[in-house]
Amino acid sequence: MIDALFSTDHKVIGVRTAVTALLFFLAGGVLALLMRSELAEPGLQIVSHQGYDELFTMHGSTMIFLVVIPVALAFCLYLVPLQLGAANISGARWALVASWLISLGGVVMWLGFLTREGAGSAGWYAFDPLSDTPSTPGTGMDLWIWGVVLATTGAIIFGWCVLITILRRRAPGMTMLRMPVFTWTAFATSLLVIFSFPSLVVGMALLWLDRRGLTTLSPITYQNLFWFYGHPAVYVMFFPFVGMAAEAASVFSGRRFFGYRAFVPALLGFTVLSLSAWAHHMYTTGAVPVEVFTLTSTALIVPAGIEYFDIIATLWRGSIRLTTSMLFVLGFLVQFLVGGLSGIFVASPTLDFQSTDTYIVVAHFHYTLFAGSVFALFAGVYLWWPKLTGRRLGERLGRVHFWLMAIGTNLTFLPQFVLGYDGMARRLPDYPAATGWQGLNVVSTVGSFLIAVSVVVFLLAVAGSFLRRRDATPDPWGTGCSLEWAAPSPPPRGNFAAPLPPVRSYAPLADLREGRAREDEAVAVPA
Amino acid sequence: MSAVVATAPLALLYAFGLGRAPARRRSWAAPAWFAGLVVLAVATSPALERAADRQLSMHMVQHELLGLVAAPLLAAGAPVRLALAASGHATRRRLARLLHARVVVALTHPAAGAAAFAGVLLAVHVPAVYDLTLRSGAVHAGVHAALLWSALLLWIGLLGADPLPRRVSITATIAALVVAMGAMAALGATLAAEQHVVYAPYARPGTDALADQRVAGGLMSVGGMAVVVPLLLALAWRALVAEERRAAVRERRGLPAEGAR
Repeated sequence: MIDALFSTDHKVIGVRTAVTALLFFLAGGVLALLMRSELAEPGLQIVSHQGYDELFTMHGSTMIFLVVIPVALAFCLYLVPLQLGAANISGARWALVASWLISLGGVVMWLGFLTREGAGSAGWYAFDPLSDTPSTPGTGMDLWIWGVVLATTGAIIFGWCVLITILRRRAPGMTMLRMPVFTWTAFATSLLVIFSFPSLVVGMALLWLDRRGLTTLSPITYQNLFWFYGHPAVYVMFFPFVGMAAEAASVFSGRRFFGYRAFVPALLGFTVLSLSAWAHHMYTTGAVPVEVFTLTSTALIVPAGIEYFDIIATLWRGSIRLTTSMLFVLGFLVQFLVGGLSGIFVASPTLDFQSTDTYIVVAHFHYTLFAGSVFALFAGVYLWWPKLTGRRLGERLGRVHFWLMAIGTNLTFLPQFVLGYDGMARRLPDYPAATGWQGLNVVSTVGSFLIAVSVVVFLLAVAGSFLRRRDATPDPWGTGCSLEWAAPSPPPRGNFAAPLPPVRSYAPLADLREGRAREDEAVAVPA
Repeated sequence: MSAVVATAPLALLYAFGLGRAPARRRSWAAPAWFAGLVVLAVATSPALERAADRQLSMHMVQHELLGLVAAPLLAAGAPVRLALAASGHATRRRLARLLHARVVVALTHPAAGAAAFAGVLLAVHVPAVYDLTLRSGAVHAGVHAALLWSALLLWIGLLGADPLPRRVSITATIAALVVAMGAMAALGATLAAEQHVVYAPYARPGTDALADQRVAGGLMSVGGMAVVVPLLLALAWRALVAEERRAAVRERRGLPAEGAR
């Protein structure tokens, strides 16, 4: 018990961070179900206007600050040392502190529900002056600010730990250009976290001072600070998941990842570009040069296209096994495409001026974050579960989980494009019956409950897995390419039981299988 | 005219050096040098000067031509390397000693170059300084010289076409480029976001100075990114490939990997 809470082993920290994120995922999901239930018919049935404001604020904040970003970094923390052939993360004690900061931030943020005025209710981006004291009074909003600060500080520390591990702890022979694809995405993620997340901490500090009446915060300054964090954060919630999908595609196609030398520069270009696209969230403020940010935002298509192409080309002519993980990869590919293509629409100022703050935006980012990233996350969960636990995760329940979730997701979010097109604004608990929006809203609500059922199925599969024997070999799928599949399942403290296979490419295990490297060249694990 | 006066001697001097130096294999240095001089002449040509006095956006184009086009081209021209090759034994020794002088070592470090570049860029765009340059021709010329020389420092350190006293690490290179780009982006974003005309002399009746200022800001940030981002990626990629190649060579020779214990 003490070990699970205070170990400095990167695997323990990673798993605990991910489990905390799962708990917040369930909590944030309940808030979503409440919102969908409220929207199922015109009028107010379940919550008040103020209550609804709290629901969407806390749903968005929880999912972004406490679920998707932490789980992305938790996977980096768990997998990067294993993929590099290292015994632990750099700055392990810092990482331990960071994981507790994130949990503490979550608790602080949710404590707002216990205050008289309720939890934070100014939206997940808490634009000033909506978030100042006259508009949103109460301790709940202050708790929200400090929750965000704590969670983001934790994320920044995680980012540094991952970056330094990659720079300093690679096994002998593991040049940068031999790092597995997921580790490359972790590298890009850590750079983004380090560059952009401090901007949010500054923004939150200024917002808090503004709420105390100590300073006056300019709304545009706040938005610039927020989105300089907020847009790169979108890629923090995307890159590691692309990496997971890429690794799963490679394992279940039985071949090494295609186009590695196109993927890596594309990813690096993606990283730099993503730092320069933030103000496309601010077109309608009239305070940013829209031409510049249209250019940088639209240019993001190029690296994204290269990454997509590489994943699809990995599947091409592979011996594909349609495991649950692979199903989630395919779901990710199809659904993220919808999210990405609708992103081109909102990157264009002329269309964005029409669609801003409508359900089109809601549908767009749920297709990227939920239908995209979360599907890739589940691909990763099913792929690495035997590595983490030494046990299989039920394939039959997994398939049910996938199909329910895929149907539920599209039922929930596809109608929202149409609702947005018809003019339904986001963040309102009520709509007039005469608009004729109820039909599509009911479809969307039904879909959201299907998602909830699919999550329950996933939890059943997890419970079932713990009833099985621990029988996973180091490479349970038989087609692993990177070093984590050379470690025992689950890996012991220190990660590797035997000397590492020689690293001659980004797929050392495939090299061994195909006779491109010799086993007797194995090297000792660096301490 | 003034532009030709300034650049013609530099072209002649370089050509004289080329004539004296022993014939070398084809290199990009000479074309880069002459192209740099042409850009310098264009950037300081009377036509562009007049346009820059009327419109902030044209003035930003001028500054970017100096700092982002002329300066890297001139640095790639490697005049010191040519001077070393073209001069006699004694001069060469004196030049080499000068190159290892402590002040030269310090100035050619990318940190110094990046600091000079960012510092000069931000300083000359402070409204009080800027308004002064619009009033006095001498100050204006001085500002342009400062922009060009600070940019030269940055690019000499980064490109390493001239012989430098030390090797510059890829981390320092990337950091310097990020600082330079950050300064340009910050300046551009500030100009683009301002709701009033920052430099009063441009606010003349009959012109939309605010719209032009927004364009100027956009040019400053996009120009910086358009030059720096591809260069940054190219340099990073070159370093990655070089590391990979070194490892492959060691493995062929049966040597232990770099950093192996």
